[in-house]
This record gives sequence, structure tokens and C-alpha cells, in this order.
Amino acid sequence: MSDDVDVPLEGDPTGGVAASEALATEAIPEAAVVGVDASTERKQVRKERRQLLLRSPGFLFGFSILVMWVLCAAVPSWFTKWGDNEVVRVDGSVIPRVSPRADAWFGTDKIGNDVFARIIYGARPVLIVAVTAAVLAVAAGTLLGLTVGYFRGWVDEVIGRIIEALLSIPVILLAIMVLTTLGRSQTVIILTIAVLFIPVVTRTVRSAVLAEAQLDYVTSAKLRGENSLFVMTREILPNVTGVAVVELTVRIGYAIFTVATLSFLGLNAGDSSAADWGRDLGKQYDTIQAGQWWAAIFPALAIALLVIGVNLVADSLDRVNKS
Amino acid sequence: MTVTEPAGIADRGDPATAALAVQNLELAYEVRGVPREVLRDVTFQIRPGEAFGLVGESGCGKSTTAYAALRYLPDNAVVQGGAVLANGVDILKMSNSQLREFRSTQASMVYQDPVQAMNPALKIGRQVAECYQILGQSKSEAMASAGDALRRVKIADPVRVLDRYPHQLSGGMLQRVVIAMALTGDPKLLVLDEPTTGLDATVEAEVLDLVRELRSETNAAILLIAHNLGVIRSMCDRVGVMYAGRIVEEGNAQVVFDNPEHPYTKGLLNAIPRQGVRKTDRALFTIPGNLPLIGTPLPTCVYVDRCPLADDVCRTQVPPVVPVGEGHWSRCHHIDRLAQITEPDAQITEYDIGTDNVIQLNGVSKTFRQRGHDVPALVSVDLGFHEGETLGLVGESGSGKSTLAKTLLGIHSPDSGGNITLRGREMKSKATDRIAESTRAISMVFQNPDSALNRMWTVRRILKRTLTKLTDVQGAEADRRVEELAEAMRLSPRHLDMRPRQLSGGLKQRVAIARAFAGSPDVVVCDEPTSALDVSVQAAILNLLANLQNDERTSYLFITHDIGVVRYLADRIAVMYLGRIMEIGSTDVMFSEVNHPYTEALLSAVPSVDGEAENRIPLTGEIPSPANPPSGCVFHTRCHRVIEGLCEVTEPEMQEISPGHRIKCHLTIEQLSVPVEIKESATLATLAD
Amino acid sequence: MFRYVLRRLALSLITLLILIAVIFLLTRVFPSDPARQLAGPFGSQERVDQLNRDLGLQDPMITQFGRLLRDVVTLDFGESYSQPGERVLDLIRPRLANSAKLVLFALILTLPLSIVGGIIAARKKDTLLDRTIVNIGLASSSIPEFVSGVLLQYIIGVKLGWLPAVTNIPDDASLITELRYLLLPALAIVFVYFGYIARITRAGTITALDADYTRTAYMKGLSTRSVVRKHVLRNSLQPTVAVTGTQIGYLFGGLVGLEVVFNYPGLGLLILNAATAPDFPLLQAGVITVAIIFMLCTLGADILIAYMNPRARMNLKESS
Repeated sequence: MSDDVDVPLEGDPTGGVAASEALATEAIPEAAVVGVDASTERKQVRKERRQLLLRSPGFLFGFSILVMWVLCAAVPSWFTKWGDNEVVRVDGSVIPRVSPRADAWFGTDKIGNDVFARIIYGARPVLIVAVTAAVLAVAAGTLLGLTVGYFRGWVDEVIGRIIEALLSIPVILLAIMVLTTLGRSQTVIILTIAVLFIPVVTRTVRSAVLAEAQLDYVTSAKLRGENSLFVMTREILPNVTGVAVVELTVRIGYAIFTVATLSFLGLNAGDSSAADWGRDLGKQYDTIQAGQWWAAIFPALAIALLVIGVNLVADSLDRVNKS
Repeated sequence: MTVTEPAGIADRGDPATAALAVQNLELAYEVRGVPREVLRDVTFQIRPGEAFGLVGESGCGKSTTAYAALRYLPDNAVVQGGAVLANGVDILKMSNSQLREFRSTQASMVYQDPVQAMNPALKIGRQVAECYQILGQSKSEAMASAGDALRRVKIADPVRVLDRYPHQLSGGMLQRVVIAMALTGDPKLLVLDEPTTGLDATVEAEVLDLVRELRSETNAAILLIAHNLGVIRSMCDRVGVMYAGRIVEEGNAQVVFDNPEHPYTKGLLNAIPRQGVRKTDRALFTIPGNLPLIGTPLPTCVYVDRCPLADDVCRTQVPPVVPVGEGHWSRCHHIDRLAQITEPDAQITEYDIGTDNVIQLNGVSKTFRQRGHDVPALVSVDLGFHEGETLGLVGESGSGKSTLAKTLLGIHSPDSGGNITLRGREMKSKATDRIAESTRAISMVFQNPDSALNRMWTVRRILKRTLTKLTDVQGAEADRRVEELAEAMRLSPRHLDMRPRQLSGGLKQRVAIARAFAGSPDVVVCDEPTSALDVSVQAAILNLLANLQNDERTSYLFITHDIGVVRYLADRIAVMYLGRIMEIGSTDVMFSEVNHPYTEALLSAVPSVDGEAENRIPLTGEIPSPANPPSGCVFHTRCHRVIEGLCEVTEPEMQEISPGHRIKCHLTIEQLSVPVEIKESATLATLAD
Repeated sequence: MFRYVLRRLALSLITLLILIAVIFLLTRVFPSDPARQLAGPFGSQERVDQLNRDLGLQDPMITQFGRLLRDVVTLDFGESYSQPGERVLDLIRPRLANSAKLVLFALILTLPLSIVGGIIAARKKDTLLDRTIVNIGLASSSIPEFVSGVLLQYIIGVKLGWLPAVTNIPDDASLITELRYLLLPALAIVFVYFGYIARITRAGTITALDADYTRTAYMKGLSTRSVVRKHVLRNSLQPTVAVTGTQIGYLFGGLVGLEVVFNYPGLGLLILNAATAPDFPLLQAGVITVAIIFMLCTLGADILIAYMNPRARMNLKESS
């Protein structure tokens, strides 16, 4: 309610009445009430939303975390002089299991790699896999949700049942099953996560579409003879985009979660010596009990920080969307 | 702000003995740290046993006043001054426990939406009994009292009602339950906030009858909030007219409604179609400009920006409280010039309706299937209307009005057997199968413009798409047509680039009407197009619709529950009940000749702002479920003129009682002309099974 | 109510049937040769053929699917591939018990904390306390449970040495000792679910506090305490119950990472090992067990909600 305060409640500059004819043109301070013109108005709405975001400390914090990790993923060499699996040599000799110190901020691991460098380099694989998978899942889920939500009927019933069935098993178990049968290239991992996320995205988008499809503007479009494709893509889709964007950020968070878990369990793709937070954690957490905490704790913190960042952004977007 | 003690208020007696005395109340809502004023210097008194009404359009502060009377205010509300005295005690200064005591024994409230007001998870019995437990009764005593309480509000079968959950009861029945709860402990003050808004006219009338009766029984003072002036007139001794958080006029309800002494009150009353006025008599008065935004700083006189009498004095000096009669005052500088506000002339002078039917429905039925049951929503409807004609369609909710409209539009396909013709040519039943010409010929204006307009589209896109889809007009020509169309709706060009949320309710409805007219349709279905709008906005929309029809010779199917509106706008009226047309005739004969018993009851149920007291005919029981319609005449279960042995056996045929006036009833004109005797049992509320 | 439960149960069974079909497809249709894997790389072709015959792996798909359904109904999944001679059911039973212990313990810790937290946040909406609860909740529920597991293991188990860092529970341990071992992994779960459930509870409570019936209750003259207890909670906790129902289901099988970290023999670890072996009877049975538990938990939650809110009984069709 409070955000509507700036919008005029009633406007009725009607004439047609002798006594008020003159007033209709003269006394109504329309410009003062509504604003200058429409495009400025629209920009203002966007600006207000942006300001609402920028005023939220949660969003700022989350967003800075994301920017940091994206930079690490894009140009890791800016942040560290070591390669991700370059063995650190000090005075010509390999030093594994060094605790954090000035020339190795996060220490070195079992093999002698710089943990800090592996954290920096580890951002790229997890971001690529998680973001691609989430984008694919949200694209496909939106399409599917739009279709079943609009057409309803038996297809909706059947797909709804299948979705419910798939949602009754933790994603991680299904992923383990698929990856152990199909092998685990990066493509397979991306596709697996994407496919496993489609049900939940479909469900979210479908319920948003159901709410939209009940509105009269949809009826009105059908009455003027628009075909289903037009109604779905031009009339309804723009109104559920907000939901889909929030869903995308939320799914990216869960995808990171899932990728990290799979890597941790050793079900990851690619070169086994490449930097990967989940796998590093999986391989090094046993050293914790020997007191060598750094090689495991830093990847753990990296995963936690990234997911927190994504979720803070998702949460703020959701709140701005709803207000 | 200078506080003036209105003379008219002062002579109303000692505030310490008033059931409720609101004194110079100033209240604001804090939004993002900025206080926005909602009530300004509100002062009024309600004597014990008196009924006081507050009227005004949305956002005027009447509900805030009602809640302030029981100190139920949102967290961001700040009382900036004044007092609310109940029997001399300021409730704004009470401790929490005193306040609870006050609410449980001294004052209570009845709310707008009874369905939401009851806890969905608890049985009625528990919720009613709780009121008595607060007063110290044991569980079993309280349950017995709850039964008595329901009996008191004339519920026929309290024991069964106590054992139900709220969702198992109708809105009217729930409102009785809420009233029963409010009466616990015989409160001295009863606040009713739009108690009948959202209920059907017949149910509204029953609830109002009940309140009136209980009032004489308990001698409680009543504060009634309503936007419906007829409800206030029929219920209240005195009335206060609110505008922008301030009472602008107060006085005896009849006097104020018959001789308003403030430009706003006068405008409001002239904006309502009343006293049987028709579109051919005069246009409706419209109040120019916008309702002020909540919390905007207002000029000296709150109404100055919209007042036809406003001059420099109004802009520089706070209008004084001017006594204009016994206990009647107005806050205006120019009461002497009120006569300058004249009623508008007729906008439709010559007027002719074609003779050929544009649309003809022949034996159209529509049966829905619900949980394996057939639910007949329309039963063999024959209906036609002419070029340039407005056919009003009235009936309670569930009577099939909307189904009829949707079937005509092709949203629902009718059962096989019937057909719909457009200028003599049969149309396909589904909208998507219809040829372009049929699609163009019929369009619709929806009840709720927020739902009817795509909120991501600009007005220009909405109109242009409809125009290019329905007609051959394309490209730059279409842009030009869109601008013309907007102009015809009195939308300014800059509105075209806005999105619906940037427009007010009235402007949105104009866009919806523009869209409906984009294809120059032959028939426009209007489904309660003004019921979501304030009175002054409604007037402008009705004027617009009447003008457009006059210019374009379009036919309207106008669905409404507002008898005043349909009388103003419609040329003919059809009355529906349980999917059947019970009566149809020209507007003139409908209001002058005898009617079908159902119409008779429906018309008598409408509280009139003109105060012509008629003998109200109560309808017994609730509307039967369409899934299981009564045998014989479907209305016989509620009819006050039922003929035993005939009506429940044989369904009557349509009979023509005068040219063009047909009713579906066994009774003759003579029988229908006999005044009805109302049985006491007819006033009891029974459960529908 | 009885009819509601029956209808709800029927829906669950349909869902389960679809799920079994999905699991069947995942384990049978994708390219893999279980007999060859069982026989080992150096096993003879005869041995492989023999295994294929014995296990019915060359029967038509539909026959194999029928056999799986029969196995589910009789709760007899035959012998394990990876541990010959062991009945699958006997392998699952102790793991199920272990998972149940951990999940129950974690719930007993999480639910009161998060429900009270959510209600307090709702009552103090938009205050510093509310923002703190919400943000801590958001952050803690973002961290994968094995990550918080590792962090807790290091800080409490190793650095401070207050609790056992791995769950190698001695066989003769008393309940108290056993709980001591379970406390760290349980805390990791608390970490994840506190925020989630608190946020759901908060949202539900805010809705209920703003509802008209709450206003009615205040207007009757009830105290805030009575209003919350008698009118708000019954409505506001419905989403919490629903979410708890689904999440318990996930907890039984989804804690693979946590079980690895603490070396805790639960269902998740069993399924992981069965998948990597691969041991198809064990894998199928394990996943189906998780699905059945999920089904029972959501069924229980829905029945509880139907009890709390009679309207929910009517809405069965819409919720599906």
C-alpha cells in the first residue's frame, strides 16, 4: 500500500457537465499529481526499484560477493601469481601442508599447491556449471510451466504427477544415480542438474501462470481472436518474468550447492588436479583431524560465501519484486 | 491548525454522557518516517441509542475513524491530537487491560467481509462461545449462550450452525454470526464498517432489518460506515459526510440527503442515479478532478480543487462551521451560492432503438459438470436485443448473469440445442472458432479494470493491438485512430504511454472501454463496469457509456446488481434467477406495472437514498444450489405468493402480461396486484443444504 | 476426514508408482552392463551370460518392471550384487534406523528453535531483532550441510575438542553417549534448517497476524497472548508443517555429504556406495525407501494440516 501513495487514486477529468466544463480544463492539477510524462514516469519506477535494491544492505553485501567471485572466475591471474595446480616452491623446494603465512595466505595443501590460488581458480568451474545449468533449467521450466499452466487439461495432470514424483527424491540422490550410469563429463553434469531442476521451476512458473491466466486481460485477448502462442508469449510471459528471474537466482544458489556436493563426493568432471572447491574439500577434510584445517576450511568458506551471496541477491530481488 | 468548536456540535449535549464522542481527532500514518495525515479535526457525537452514519468515497478516512473508535489502529498510526470518549472515558488513554475490558463489554464491531472475519480453522460454536468465556462463563455455559445468541440474530437452527466451520456457511449467515458475537454482553456502542458491502441486495436487506430490530431491542448506539448512501439513509438518525479526512457536513440524515448544504454532499448526491432518473432525463453530475491522495497536505478547504464554487476566499481561509439548521452544519464559505450548482442537462435528447434484433439467443442452455454432477447454469434462455438498445440484466449472485454473458461471448460453449445469431446469422459457439466479423461485432467491458488490462502493456499498445487485430486499419493510420479513440474516451495523449498501474481506477476503466470500442462493435457486454468505482467516478463512466451508445448505436448487455444504475441506463431489463429469465420488460413498465414475485422482492430490498419507505418483502431461505434446483417453479421455495400444489409441481410458462412485458409465473395480474402479508417465519435465516 | 485421507493416499500411491518407473528407467535403460560388472573384467563370457539369465536381465523390460513392482509390494529386493549373500532389505534396515536417529534428533533441536524464532521475528516485524533472525537464517540455510559439517567438525570437534569429531559410535554406547556422537552432525542440520523453517514460520505468522479473524479476536477483548495462542498459531503454522513434512523426507536420503564427513552409516551413504559399485538392487531399494519415507512424511503433514484447517480438506484438487 505504502508504495502506491505516489500514484493518483482517482482521476476523472470528465466534462460533459455544464458546471464543471471549465474546471475540467483549468482546475485539475494533473501534471502535479501524475508526474511529468510517461517515459520519465517509467524510468522513475525503475529508478525507485533500483534505489530500493541499493538501499538494502543485504543486496549490497551479496552483490559485492558475487562481483568478487565473477572477477576471480574471469581473470584469476589478477589475484594470484600461482597457477591452480602449480606446486609452490620456496627456495627451490616443494613445501606441502604449510599453515597460512605471508607468502601463502591460505597455506598449502597435501601436494604443495597454494590454497589461495586454488580458491581463486576454483570459482570458474563452479560458476560455469551452476549458472549454465540454472539458466537451462529456468528456460525449459518456464516454457513448460507456461504451457501446462495455460492449457491445463490432462497434459497438466500428467506432467504435474511426474513433477511431484521427481520432487519426492532429493536432487542429489537422483544426480548420483544419473552420473554413475551416464558418466560424468562437464556437459553431462550441467544437463543433469538442469533436468533435475526443471520440475521445481515448472511448478513455480505454472502457479504464477495459473494466477495470470485467470485475469480478464487474458480473456480479452482470446475474445479478440489472439492465438494461444500470442497469449502465452506476449500477454502472460511478460507478467511472469519477475517470478522467473527470482527463480533463476534461487536456482543458481541451489545449483552451486549441488555442484559442490557432487564434487565433494568425487562425482565431478574434468582434470582431477584442476582447482575445484568441492573436490578440494572432499580430498582434504581428513587432514582437519590432524590440525591442518586450512586446506579444507578455506574451500568450505568459499562455497558458503558464494551461496550466501547468491541467496542474498535472490532474496532482495524477491522482496523488491513483491513490493 | 486552528481548532474551531462547531456550534452545531456543541449543542448536542455533554460529551461525557455520549455513547461515543470523537473530539478534534487528528491522526496520521507514518510512511517511511513521514507522517501522512488521514484524519483532520474530526469531531462528532453519538448519543445513547442513536445511529450515526459516516459516508464518503474511498480514502476519505471513514474506516479509520471507525477503527479509532475502538482504538484498533495499525502500528504506523500516530494520534496527533484529540480524544475519543466513550461514556466520558478517553479510550486513547486506557491501559491495555482497560481497553480489553472496554472491547469485551462496552463496544464491538461488525466488519465488511464476514468470511474473512471468522477464523477458518475453528467451528462457529467455539468462536461465538469464546465471547462469553471472556465474560467469565464456563465452557458449557458459554456454548449455551452462543446458541441463544444465534437465536437472537434469527438463525433458525442454531445448534447445527454452531457445529459448522465458517466455509460451510453463506456470507449472509456468517454476517449474522458476526453480529451475534458483537452483541455479547449488550454493548453500548456498535460499530458497523460496511457491514453489507459484498452481500446480495436481498441478503443486505435482511441484515439491515436485523440490525434495525436489534437496535430497538438493545438501545445500543450505532456508528455505521458505508459508501452506499441508501444504506445510511435507511439506517441512521444522523449522518456525517467525510472528505479527505474531514467531516464537511453533519446533520439529520433525511435533512442532509434531501437538502445538502455542502458542495461535496450535493455533488455526491447528484452523481447517483436516483429518484427514478433516466439517461433521457439528464446526464449524471460528475465531480471533476481526483480524490485527494491520502496524506497529501491539503489547502484550507479540503474540497477547493474540485469545487465549482471555489474562489480566492476558499484558497486562503479555512471555511468556518456554519450552522444551517437544527443540529445541521456545513463547513463552507459559500452556502448561499449552492444553488449555482445545477443538475446537468440531458445528454441524450433524441434517441431511437432499431427494431431488428442484433443478437438473438434461442433456447440457450449451459450445463457445467462439477464433481460428477450436472449443474445447469443457464436453462433455455431466449433473449434478443436491438440496435442501440441497452438490455439490463439483474439478479442475485449465482443467478447465471455472468454465464449468460460468457456464453454470448463464446467463452463458454452452450449445450447443444440452442443457438446464438448475430444479425440473423448463426455464430459458432466458441470465440476461437468464430469468423472475424463475429469477433469484431461483440466485445466486453469487465468489472475490474486491474484484471482486465495487461499491466506490462502501455495503453497505446493495448488499444493499437486490439484495433489492428479487429479491423483493417494498420500502421500510421492505426496510430491516428488510437489517438482519436483515446480522445473520444476523454483520455489525454500522455495517458497513452502509461501503463495501467500509473492510472486511476476511473482512467483504467476508460481504457478498457476504449478497447471494447476499438473494433466498432455491434454489441458490448458490460459486466458490472462501475461496481469497483467510487460514486463520482461511476457517474462519469455511465455518462460516457450513454454518450458512446448514442453516437455509435451500439447495443449493450449491461449486467449489474445496482437497481438505480440499471434504471438509469437500461431500455429493457431482464431478471434472472437460477439460470432462468423470470421477467423481462421495458424499464418503464418494470417500475410501474406488477412484477414477478422475485422482482418484487428484489426491488423492495434496495435501500433508497430517497427514503421512500416501502414494505420490504423478505425472501425466505438462501438461494438453492443450481446443482439441485427446486421442482416446478424454481422460485417456489422462496416465493411469498406461492400457490400450494401448483408451483412446486409445474414450471410456469412465460406469459405476456402487457406488450413486451413477460413474466414466468402462474399468477395472474390480479393475483399479483394484491398486497403481500409477511409471515414472521419468513424473517428467519435457514441453512441451505 | 476419512475420505480425505483415502484420496490423499491414493494420490501418493500414484506418485510412488511414477517414481518407481523413473528409477527403473534410470537404472535399466541407460547403457550399462551389470552382469559384466559383476563378473569382473576377467570373468568369462559364460559367467556373464549365466548372470544375465539368473538375474533376469534379458527378460523384456515390462517383465523386469513387473518384478520390481512385486519386490516393492513384498518388500523383498533379493540379494545385493556387491555383497553377495546379503539380503538387500537386511542391508537397508540398520541404515534406515541410523538415518532416523539422526533426523529425529536434528528435528528435536531445530523445530522448537526455528518456530519460536520465526514467531518472534513476525511479532517484531521490521525491527533489528527480526532482521537479525531473518538474515542469520538466510545465511545459515545457504551453506551446504557438509560444509557446515566440516566447519563444526573443525571448530567444536578438533579445535575445542568438546564433542567427538566423527560418529564411530561404540556398539555398547548408552543413549546419552550416542547423542553426544550425533550432536555435531545434528547441529550441522540445525544450521541448514533453522533459517529455512524460521523464515517459513515468520511468513505464515505475519499473514495470520494481519488476517481479519485476528482483528476479530482482538476486538472480542482477548489479550495478545490468547489471540496468538487460540487464533494465530493454528493458521500460521500450516506452512511450517507442510515444509517440515517435505524436508524430513529429504533428510533421510539427502545428507550424503554430511554422512561422508562424519563417516556416519546412513541411507545416503548406502545409496552413494550402491551407485558407485554399482549394485542395482540395493540402489533401487535404497532410493525407493527414501521415496516411501517422503511419501509418508508429506502424507502425515497433509493430514495434520487438514486437521488444523478444515478448508484444506476441500482443496485437495487445487494443491496437487
